[in-house]
Amino acid sequence: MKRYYLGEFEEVVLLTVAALSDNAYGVTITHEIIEQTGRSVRLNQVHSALQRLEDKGMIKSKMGNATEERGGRRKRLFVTTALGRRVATDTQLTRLHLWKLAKGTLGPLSEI
Amino acid sequence: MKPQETENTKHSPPKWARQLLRLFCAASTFEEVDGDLLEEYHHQLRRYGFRKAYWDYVINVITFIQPFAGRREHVHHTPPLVITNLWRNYLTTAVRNFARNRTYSVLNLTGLTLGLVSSMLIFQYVTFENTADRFHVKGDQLYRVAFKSVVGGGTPETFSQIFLGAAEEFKATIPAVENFVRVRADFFQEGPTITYTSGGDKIAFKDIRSVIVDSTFLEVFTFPLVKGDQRTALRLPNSVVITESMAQRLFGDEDPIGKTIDYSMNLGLQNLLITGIMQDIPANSHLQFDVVIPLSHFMASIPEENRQYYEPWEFREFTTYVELRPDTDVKKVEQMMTKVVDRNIGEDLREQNITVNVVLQPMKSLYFDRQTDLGTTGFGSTLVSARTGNQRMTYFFTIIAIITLAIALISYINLSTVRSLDRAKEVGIRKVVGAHKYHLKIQFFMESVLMNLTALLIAILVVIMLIPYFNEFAQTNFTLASWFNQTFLLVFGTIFVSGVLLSGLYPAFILSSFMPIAALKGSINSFGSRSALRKFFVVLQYAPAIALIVCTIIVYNQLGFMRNMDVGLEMNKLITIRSARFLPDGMRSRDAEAMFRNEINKLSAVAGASFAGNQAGRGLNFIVPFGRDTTNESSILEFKASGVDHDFADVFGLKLLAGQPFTEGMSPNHGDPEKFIRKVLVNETAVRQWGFDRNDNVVGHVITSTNGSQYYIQGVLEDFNWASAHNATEPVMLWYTPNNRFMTIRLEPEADVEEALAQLKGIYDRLFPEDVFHYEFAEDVYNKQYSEDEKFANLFGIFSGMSILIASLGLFGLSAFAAERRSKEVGIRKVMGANVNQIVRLLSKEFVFLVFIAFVVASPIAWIVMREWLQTFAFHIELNAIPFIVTAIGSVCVATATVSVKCMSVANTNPIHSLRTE
Repeated sequence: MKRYYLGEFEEVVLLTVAALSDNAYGVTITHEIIEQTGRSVRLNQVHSALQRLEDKGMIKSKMGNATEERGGRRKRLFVTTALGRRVATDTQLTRLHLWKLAKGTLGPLSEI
Repeated sequence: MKPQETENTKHSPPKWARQLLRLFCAASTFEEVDGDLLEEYHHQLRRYGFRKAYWDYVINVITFIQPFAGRREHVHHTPPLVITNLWRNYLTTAVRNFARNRTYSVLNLTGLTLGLVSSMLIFQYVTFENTADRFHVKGDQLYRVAFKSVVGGGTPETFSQIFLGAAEEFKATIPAVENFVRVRADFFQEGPTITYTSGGDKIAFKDIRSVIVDSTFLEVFTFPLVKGDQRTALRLPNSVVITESMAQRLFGDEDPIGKTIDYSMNLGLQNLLITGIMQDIPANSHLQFDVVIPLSHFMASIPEENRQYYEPWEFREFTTYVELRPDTDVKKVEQMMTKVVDRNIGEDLREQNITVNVVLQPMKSLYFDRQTDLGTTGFGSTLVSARTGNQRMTYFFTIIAIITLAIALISYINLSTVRSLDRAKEVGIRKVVGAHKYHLKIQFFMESVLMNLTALLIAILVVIMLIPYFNEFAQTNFTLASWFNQTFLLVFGTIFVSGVLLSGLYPAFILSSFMPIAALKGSINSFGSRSALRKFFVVLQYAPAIALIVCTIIVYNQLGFMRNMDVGLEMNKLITIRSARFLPDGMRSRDAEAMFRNEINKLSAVAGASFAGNQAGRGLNFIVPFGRDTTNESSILEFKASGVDHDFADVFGLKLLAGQPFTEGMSPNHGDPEKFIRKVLVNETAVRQWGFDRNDNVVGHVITSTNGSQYYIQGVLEDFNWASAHNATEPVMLWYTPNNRFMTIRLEPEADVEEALAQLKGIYDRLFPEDVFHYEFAEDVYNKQYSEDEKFANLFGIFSGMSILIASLGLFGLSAFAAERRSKEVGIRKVMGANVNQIVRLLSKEFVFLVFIAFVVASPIAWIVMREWLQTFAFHIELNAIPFIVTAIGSVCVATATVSVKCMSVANTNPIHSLRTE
């Protein structure tokens, strides 16, 4: 399998895009990450991560509808591509595999 | 789609930040980013409130400014043109070069920036002076009417004060005269007082400059009103127009329109209604005033018994300006006006053997006009309210500006050519891979342009910061917008562009001419070649800087000399007070003056008090012409005259050389009072000019002026200079007037000034409760006349300092470079046993010698220029060698210090380091 490099933060963003299904755009992704991971994230970081992901072909985007709140600006909605989903799965599988190998030294892991 | 008005939209994110985003965010992503930020903003607003939302928005925008936050577009680039790549490469090379040779680059940049800053400041000043009085919309049609009169066959003199009725007759008889306005300073020696009652308190103001003008004043001249109607402001009865700053002074922030002020002048107290507020007068207007009073009102307030003095062809204290039709033949109008004058007073003039020609002086020439006699300070004249520029000063400064900029440019050329060795390899490679000569020329020229532009940017920033100081210094009121006005941009743009061309082309040609083989083999020694030219440049930049320094020292010497000059007057601990104008009911002015004098003479701190017609340093009030009967029939001797009291000589420390002093209560007239022969004291200069060799001989003579009045010479005083060191001591005649407008008080030498002033104020307030106590120190008043000279000296000092600094920066760069080039030589010398001293001497010898040569070149120029300049002062220092010696030693020291810095470090380097590498 061809190796795709997926950064840690990129992975978070990619997974969040997947989690938000059809409502993934800058603001919602940022808020979701803050809510779910508790890390402080700024919009610009999310934007650049999204761009990198799109460049790598792991997500794709289209322009969505506009709202009043956005001053009449449309949002760019993101969805994962097949490649993105596969890379995410691969990453996760690799990780699980490694976890199993390292089991015992890392202490108890209640649920995955 | 516009967001609807909801609770939250009344707050909105800062517009400027959004604008910033629009500017810096890639167009392809702008829409979504903008939308996201807005949405986030509203989210935060709901949750945390306005303040947090606001700042978060700002931070978000700033984080998006980073160029990599932009969306990369998936567009296939068309292969860029080679030329674009080259340009980018040039830019990269330039920036890298700048960064690598940081010291030289910063030296270059600093020198250029300093040169640009000083020349920008000076050019602004010069432009400002040269555009004086150009703000009048009808400026080209405006002329001041002056009389050029010749007595007998003598030298013609031009007077700007002409007859009261002349203008009206000009307009009536000459069709080309469209309009006229007469202006007269309402300034009878001590100036008007204004009082204004606010909430029961009466506040009084002195030190006011007011003009009496025709109601056409606001139409002919362009002095725009901020409030009030321009057409009627000066036509309403009892109206008065004041400037914005005067209004601020009187009323603070209240609306002044419709308020009444009490105005006191020699024609008594008047109630005036404020009908207009005028924009402050531009500092480069030759007319300067705070208060404008309509002439009709002034004429109406003249008491019946004085009307006889204001005959149309008798009273000549008005300055008249006419507005001519466009494209009028001015010469013709002048002739017609001369005829009008001839028709009215021709006979009288012929009787006195005087010929008068009317001269029309264009408005824009007035500011620099120092020839025309603007009138005496007595009886109201334009003198106090007219500002004259100094053309000579603007020439001087233009030269200084050019010199500083030139020094900076030369320094730049020198450094960049000398450094070309560092670039020789680059040039070689570029040529080998196919660069044409013109490519290289473009490249190096572009580097120069880049450097100059950077310097220009920094210079502009510095100038913007300096504007307030400049305003204070030059008494101007520039704002950011008015500073970069069209004239300035044009003049400075031209200078800058030519500077860039000159300084950019030469290095470009030198650098592009290297032969590739020689360059790559490293056999080009740029420091050795063209060394004659380099030396010449060093001399060329140092010589003017040195000349400026010499001049500065001499200018300061002259200023100090004028300040400390023995003017024959004892100025120490002298206080002058203007007479009270608002007197208790029924009190006459002269009684008030006498009463005040009696009261203050009782004070222990007061050594003496004297009344005179004016203050020292401001000239005397009257001019009395005498036909010089001893030598030349046709020449006229003008005596400056004023009334003083018996204590005058004592208070000012004047010595009586012959005859009798004035005594208290003496009769002011000699012999039969009906004949009105005034008893006078004259000064020595008067005696000499009269043709007497002994002071005693003149005492007791009765002399007759050309207008028939007679004077009995009672005594001769030692010379004193009442006016200024600019002018030679004039013949002076003093007559006896026991009470007058200006009181000068001499304090006891050991008296406490503060305490004495408090006591004086107490007496003044008690005697004249309606008025305000206003005092000046005689020394300050006297020295005020030198403020222009002082300004000149300070500007001169600053800019010559600047030029020597720029030159030294250049020299530093040059010597540092030379020292580094020779580091191997130094290493070998050290190995062979040379010590640090010898090496420093070896390295710096050449440069110090060059600076000395520059001094030798500069000295004669400075000598000639300064000799000319000193001639403009009647009293001046003698040129001697001291300033030159001081400068020679100083500049050689500065040069040695500059050069030694780097030489020392090179000389102190361990030879291992310099010899190890090859």
